[in-house]
Amino acid sequence: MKLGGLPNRAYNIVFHTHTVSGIVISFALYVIFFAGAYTLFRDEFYQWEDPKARQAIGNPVDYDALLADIKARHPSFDQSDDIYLYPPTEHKPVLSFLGHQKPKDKTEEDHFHAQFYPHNKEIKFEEESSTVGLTLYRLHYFDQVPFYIGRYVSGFVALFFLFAVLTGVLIHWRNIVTKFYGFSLKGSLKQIWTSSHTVLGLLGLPFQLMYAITGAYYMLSILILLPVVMVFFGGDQKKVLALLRPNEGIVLNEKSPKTNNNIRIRQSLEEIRAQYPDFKLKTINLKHYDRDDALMIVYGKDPNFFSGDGMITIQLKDGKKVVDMMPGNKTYVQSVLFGIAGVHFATFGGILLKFVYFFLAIVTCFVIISGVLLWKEARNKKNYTDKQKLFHHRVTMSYLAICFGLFPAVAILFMAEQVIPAGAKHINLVNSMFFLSWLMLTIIGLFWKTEARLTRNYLYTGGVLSIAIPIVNGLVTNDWLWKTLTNKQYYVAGTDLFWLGTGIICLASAIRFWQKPSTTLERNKEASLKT
Amino acid sequence: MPAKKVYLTSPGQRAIKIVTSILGGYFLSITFHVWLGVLLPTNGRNIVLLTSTFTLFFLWGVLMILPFLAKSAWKILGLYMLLILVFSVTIFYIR
Repeated sequence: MKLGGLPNRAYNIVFHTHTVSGIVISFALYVIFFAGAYTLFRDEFYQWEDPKARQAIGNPVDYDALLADIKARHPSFDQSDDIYLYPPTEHKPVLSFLGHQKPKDKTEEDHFHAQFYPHNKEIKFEEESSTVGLTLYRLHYFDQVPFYIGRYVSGFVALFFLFAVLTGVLIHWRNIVTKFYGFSLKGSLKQIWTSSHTVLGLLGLPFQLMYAITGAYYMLSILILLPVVMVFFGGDQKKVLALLRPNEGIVLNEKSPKTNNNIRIRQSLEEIRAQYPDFKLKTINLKHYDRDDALMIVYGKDPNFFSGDGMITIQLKDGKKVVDMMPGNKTYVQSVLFGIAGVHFATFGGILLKFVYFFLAIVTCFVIISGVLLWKEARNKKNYTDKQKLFHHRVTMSYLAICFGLFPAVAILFMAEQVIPAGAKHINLVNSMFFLSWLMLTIIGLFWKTEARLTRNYLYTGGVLSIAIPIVNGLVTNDWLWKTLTNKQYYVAGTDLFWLGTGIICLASAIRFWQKPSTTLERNKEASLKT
Repeated sequence: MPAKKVYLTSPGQRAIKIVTSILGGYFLSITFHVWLGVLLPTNGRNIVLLTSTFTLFFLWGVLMILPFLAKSAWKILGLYMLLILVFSVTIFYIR
């Protein structure tokens, strides 16, 4: 079945813009999707990356006692300023704390972090001591590039990705119905890459379109805010915030008297829990905690439905609800951003949804790679000079080396987290090791002559390193796979199993690929003779 | 595959088209959204503002394609500028 496609001139123009925009963003987009795919499971592998967190969730925390304790040990703690508490969860049974201290010089605000371990009531004044999840999360919007340049670059990559998705749909509109079942591994390399690029691109279309748009929104939201604030809100940014989160609009009196008679946090939280039994707390924000007009803002999510995010603001003086944005009470305007976050971070379903997202993200990586290979193979013809062909080959090799080198580097990142001893320099060392090994792996890849050999060698390297991950975890923390499985520490065991499975799949496909390079090369030559 | 060269435009025209596509696309998309908001009462404005978090980029994407299909780069640039001007003037007087 054929649909009416574009006329000849339009087809060729759209095709060309698709090729150019695609080739320019390809490797950056690959890195975004690859790092982002792992980031989906950031919460799930938290206990793996931080062995100190491999504990049971413990008894409910007495927040008032904790804050008093922090004040006693850290006397400059300013309880009137913003306090953030991230309650322990099943994924991460550690409570994170962010508070302010009285600034040494008055121009800057000064905050400090603490981690509280409920099972033995230990408080450590430090930021999170592990980094794998954070490093991959930041990599997926190039946050390691200084001065926010990376963020804008990734925003525009998302925008051009949107452009490539839309032009791709236009190009394949004519055959869009047959593409649903048109996947084939037969024919010349060019046909294989074409078929995988178009068929998988079509199957992943809604997913990719969603990420192009939400990704562009996250990194380029200033392009909406700036003009809208100027025109609608007279340049006052606070009014927009107050619209989205009415609690931001409440003005607290800086001279309100200090008091100790406020309602206890735990009691107030239990009242919320009684009313919304499935509501899972994510963040507690306290304002003017030690004063008369203290506010407690609680954020969380009811996992039972898509729009289950919620927020409630309580006056600690008398327990009165000041702002109620709990599930079911939100307006459209208050729901949109929660919805965008839900689809972008895959938080509207369970773990199965995350696996679907992960699979689709890897499929998207494959669509990107097959696009680059298709670009090269389509130019493997007589009407291109040898010099041009060499250029196409070199570009393809560099792109593949950057993209495929990331996979073994991620495996090294996971191992570095366990191998490098804890301490003040831990996070820096782990990150340097990750980026240096990625650089090294990329440079080595350029010497592997053909695309086929390069792919195979990276599969070997990545496969061996993946299998080493559960072994390293066992050696360093003594939590071997069989131990964590019998202890029902499923998040730790799951991470080990994931890497073990990944390693076996990679090695198996590399071994199958081992006989292939010669034949693919021959087929390559045949194909180039035919065209 | 690859695209046939006969259908592609000269470098000068292409440069104008690229600028129209990226910058023109953005300004046309944002002025359209703000214009739509200006025509509505406060609550409508808020709805337009929040909806634009995704529709702004979608429309921008579509407007990025159109200039490349145009026969003359100057004409499409003129059209985009005219529309941006019309929207901006309306916004300026109604807000």
